[in-house]
Amino acid sequence: MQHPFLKNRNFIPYITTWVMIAAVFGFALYNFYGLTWQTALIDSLVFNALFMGLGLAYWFNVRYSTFDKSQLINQVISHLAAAAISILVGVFLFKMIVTPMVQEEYYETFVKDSMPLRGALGVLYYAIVVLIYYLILYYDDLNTKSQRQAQLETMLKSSELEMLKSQINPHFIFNSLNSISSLTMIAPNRAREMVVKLSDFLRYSLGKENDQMNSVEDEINNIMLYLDIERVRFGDRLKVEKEVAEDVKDQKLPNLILQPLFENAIKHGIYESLEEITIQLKAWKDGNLLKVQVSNEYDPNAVSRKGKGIGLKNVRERLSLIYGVNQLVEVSKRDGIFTVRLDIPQTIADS
Amino acid sequence: MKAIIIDDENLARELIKAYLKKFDQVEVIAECSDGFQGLKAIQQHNPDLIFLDIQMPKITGFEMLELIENPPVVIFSTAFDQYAIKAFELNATDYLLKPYSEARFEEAVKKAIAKIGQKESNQKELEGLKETRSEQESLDRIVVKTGNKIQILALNQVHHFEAQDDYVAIHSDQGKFLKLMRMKALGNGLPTGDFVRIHRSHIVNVKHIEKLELYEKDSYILYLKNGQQLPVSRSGHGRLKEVLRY
Repeated sequence: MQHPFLKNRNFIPYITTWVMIAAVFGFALYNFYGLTWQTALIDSLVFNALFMGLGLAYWFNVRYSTFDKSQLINQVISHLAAAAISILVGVFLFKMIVTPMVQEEYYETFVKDSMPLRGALGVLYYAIVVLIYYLILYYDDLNTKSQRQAQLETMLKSSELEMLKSQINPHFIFNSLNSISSLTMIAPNRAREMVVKLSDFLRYSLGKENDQMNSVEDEINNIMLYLDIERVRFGDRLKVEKEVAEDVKDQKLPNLILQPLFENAIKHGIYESLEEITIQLKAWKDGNLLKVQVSNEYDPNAVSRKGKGIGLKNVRERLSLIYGVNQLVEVSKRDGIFTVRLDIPQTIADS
Repeated sequence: MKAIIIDDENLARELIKAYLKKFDQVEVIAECSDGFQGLKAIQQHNPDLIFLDIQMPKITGFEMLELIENPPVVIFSTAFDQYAIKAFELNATDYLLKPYSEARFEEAVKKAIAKIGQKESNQKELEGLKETRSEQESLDRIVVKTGNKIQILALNQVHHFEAQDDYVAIHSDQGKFLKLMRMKALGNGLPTGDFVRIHRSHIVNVKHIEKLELYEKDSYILYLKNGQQLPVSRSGHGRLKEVLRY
């Protein structure tokens, strides 16, 4: 975040406020301490201008320290140090500048006597400025959060249907039903088996809320059901290799996030090719990240019909909204193999 | 009566064969799992009837049909394809929506047998199908055939289309191809903005235009990047102006 008083035209209200403070300060010097109005003016302007400048620097102490309970002591120390240093610097500079400007004896004594008061005033300035900075940060944070929340809600609402549509391809359902119809004549047992698989798949896919998090194991089991059904349709042309590390099985990932990746793999692999196609699934842990990689062979020379490109885009958008981070989806095409990797953080920022 | 089944799913083919057992007069002489095989089998066996799935690997059922000169009677089938279904309805074509009942299947086969008996050419119906489809869904590629070789051209590889009687000559990176189709149907199906009809018999890809020169009053000549020169009609010039915004 940029400095709040330096961006746009925010320096105008900042300077205006300080001019007002300086006016009150100067008026007090003139009225209650018996300074001539020229001396009062010089004193007030120099003193307050110095703190106006220092006030800008306080931002960095606020901005670059995170507000966290475990860091509370560090924070207090850093603020005390910053306040002490800045006040010493401010008061010292003030004396250096003012002394040669006003060559009067009574003023020199006044400056000396007023030092404790000026120090106290410095502390007050510091406290107020820092407080304002915290308020700005807090407000800004709140704003981004509510914006993100609103965005997430509208997206979830508007895309709920769209997502289900893209996640479960109607082609897949009707063709599967046709396969079942055929199996009832030639192999009734297999027909029954397929009805059960299709039902399990649909129950899992349709019965979940969109914002739900599921375990890797559940999601992969569902994907395997899907691939089993596709294998009934396409027979030996579809090969599946699965490599899932034991320690990721109960990690969490968003509901049905893998479905579009496999639909794509089937679409560009099986639907566009005459050969046997292998789809590979890998899942492993990398620090705080769950990595899931889906790759499929495809024909790089195929002039494929334009897809709507909804699948991958949806995955990208969902992940960035849920985790507040972009670049969680990596896509690569190499040597006739299309690979998508998802990096799924295991601690969600908001919960 | 010879029939060929073209569907990429084995079980779908099995179902058709099972339903066909009731029809003694229909004999399945070939089964194909994609459009390439289908094309070959049709040329080889010259069937009376084909069962054709629309979505298949590499080329769709429609694209396969476009490559056949005198197509046999077709019973289309599809699981889910709004564009195709709309086109069927607009042209009163009989089609099967997967999964379909045996009664529905028998009805379709009986109609087809009647059609074959009347020796009706279905060229017109298929032509109409192609035309309505091009109005519904814009083309993204073109399938052509030279000899026994089938090529799939991406539209951005096409420089320009030229009308030649009943055919359209396609000039592309891969060379020149002839395809049986009407210029009007083609024009409707091409993505507007990428292609402009500059003349009664010429449609150009705007990405392949080099320059436009005034030839005589009101008549222009268009130079393509490959050096070819094409005439531009008056109304063609208007359309060109609109798309290129000059």
